[in-house]
Amino acid sequence: MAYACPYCGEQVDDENRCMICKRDLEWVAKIYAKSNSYYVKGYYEAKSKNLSSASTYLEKAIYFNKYNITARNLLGLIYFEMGKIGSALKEWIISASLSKEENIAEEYIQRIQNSPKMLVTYKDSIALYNKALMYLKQKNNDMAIIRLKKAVSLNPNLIEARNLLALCHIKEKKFYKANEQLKSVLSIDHSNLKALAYFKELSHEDTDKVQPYELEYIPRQSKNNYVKPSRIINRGHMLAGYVIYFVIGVLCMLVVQTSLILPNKTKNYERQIVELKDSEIKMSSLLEEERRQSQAEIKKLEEQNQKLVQEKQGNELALSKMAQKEKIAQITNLKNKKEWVQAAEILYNVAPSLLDDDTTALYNKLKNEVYPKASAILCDEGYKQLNKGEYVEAKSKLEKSILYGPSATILRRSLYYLGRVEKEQGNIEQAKYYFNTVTEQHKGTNEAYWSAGELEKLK
Amino acid sequence: MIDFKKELEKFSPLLDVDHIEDRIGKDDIKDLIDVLKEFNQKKSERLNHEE
Repeated sequence: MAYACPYCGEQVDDENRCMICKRDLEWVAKIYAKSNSYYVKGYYEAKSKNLSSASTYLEKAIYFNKYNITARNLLGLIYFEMGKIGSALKEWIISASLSKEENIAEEYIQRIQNSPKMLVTYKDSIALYNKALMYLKQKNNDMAIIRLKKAVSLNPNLIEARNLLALCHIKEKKFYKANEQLKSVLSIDHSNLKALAYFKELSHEDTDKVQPYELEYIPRQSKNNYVKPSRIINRGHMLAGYVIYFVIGVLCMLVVQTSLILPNKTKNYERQIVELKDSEIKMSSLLEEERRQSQAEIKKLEEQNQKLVQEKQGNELALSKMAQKEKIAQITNLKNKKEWVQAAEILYNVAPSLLDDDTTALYNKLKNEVYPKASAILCDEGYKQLNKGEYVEAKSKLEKSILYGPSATILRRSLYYLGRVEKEQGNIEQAKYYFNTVTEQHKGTNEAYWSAGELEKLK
Repeated sequence: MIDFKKELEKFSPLLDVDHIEDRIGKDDIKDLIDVLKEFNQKKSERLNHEE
C-alpha cells in the first residue's frame, strides 16, 4: 500500500524506509494497516445495517490514518443515513480538503447542494431536535415532544430525535408510541445502543395495546363557520350631514380669524421689533468694551504662563536626572542580589541621554552584564509557561527576552517559542512571521528545522 | 426502570449545517501519527532547551 511519508510528505511504496529522508517508517506502515483493518470492520458492520458500531470502527480508522479517505467518506454516508447531515457534510468537507484526486466526497457535497429543498428540511429537523433537547433540559416536556414529532416528520431517519421521542413517551408511560419509535430506529440502525436499551426496558410493559391516554386529541371543526348577519344598518346619509355641518363651522372660524384677530396681532409684533432693535445696539457696545478688557488680561496671563512653563521644564530636567541616577543605584543593588529580570526591567527604562559621563559608563557596564542573564531567564520561564498552556504570560516573557538583545541561541529559541504561542492562540499570520524569521535568519539549527515543519503544517 | 434525567444527559445537540466550518477544529484533522510526531518534537525540544 502506497502512503505519504509523515516526515517529508514523499510517496512511499510498500517499503519500511523513506527513499527521500531515509527515515524508518515501519511504525507508520503498522498504524496504517490497523486503520485499514478498522475500515474493513466498519464496512461489514455498515453492510449489516449496524450503523452505530460501523461509525465507531470508522472513527477509529480515521484516527489511525486521517488520509483514509474511503473510511472518512463511508463515515459521512453513515451519518447521513442516521439523519445527521451536519456531521456528514463535515466529514466530506474534511475528506475533500485532504484529497482532491477522484474523491467521491465532492460529488456527495455537490448532490446535497443541488437539492436545496432537502437541505433546508434536514437543517430544520436538526434545529427542532436541538430546541427540543433544550426544552427537555428546562423540564418543558410538552413543547419538546411537539418539536420532536415535527423533526421526525421532516427527517424520518433522524434516529437521535426518534430515540429522544421514545424516551419522552416512556416517561409518560405511552409504551405503544415509544415502541413504534424504537422499531423505526432499529430498522435503520440494528445496533443502536440507546434504542436497544429502551427496547429491553419496554419488554416488561404492554406495548401491543394503545392506551386511551395515548390517543391524540383532535378538535372537531364545524363545516360551516360563517355566521350570516340578520340585519345590515345603513348609516351613509347620517354621516354626510355631519360632514356638511363640520365644513360650515370651519369656514366661520376662518372669517373671524382674518377680520378680527390678525390685524391686532400684526401691530403688536411691529412694536416688539422696534424695542428689540434698540436693546441689540446697547448690548453690542457693551460687548465690544468687554472684549477689549479680556484681550488685555489674556496677554498678561500668557506672559506669566510662559515664565512658569520655563521654570517647570528646568525643574523637571533636574528631577529626571536625579531619577536616572537613583535607577542606576537601584539596578546595582538588584544586580548584587542577582535579581536579573527586575534589574533588566528598570535598566530598560533608564534614559541614557540624561546621564553624566561617569554614570553612562556604569550604565553600559550594567547593560552588558544584566541583559544576557535576564533574557536567558525569561526565555526559560516563557518556555515552561508555554508547555503549561499559560500563553499570555509566556508571550510577555518571551517578548521581553527578545527586547534585551539576547545571544543568538536565546534569540532563535525565543522566536520559535513565540511562534508556537501565537499558533496556539490562533494568530496564524503572526506565528508564520516568527517561524519564517527563524528559518531565514537561523539556518541549520534545530529551531529552524522545527519552524519549517510548523510552517508546513500552517499551509 | 429508566432514569429519565440520566438518560437525557446521553443526548447532545447535533451539528447544525450553518456551523460546520466553525466546528472543524485542528483536532478533526489530527491522527495518531500527528500525535506521536508532536510528542516526539516536544521531547526533542525539551532536550534542546535543557542543553
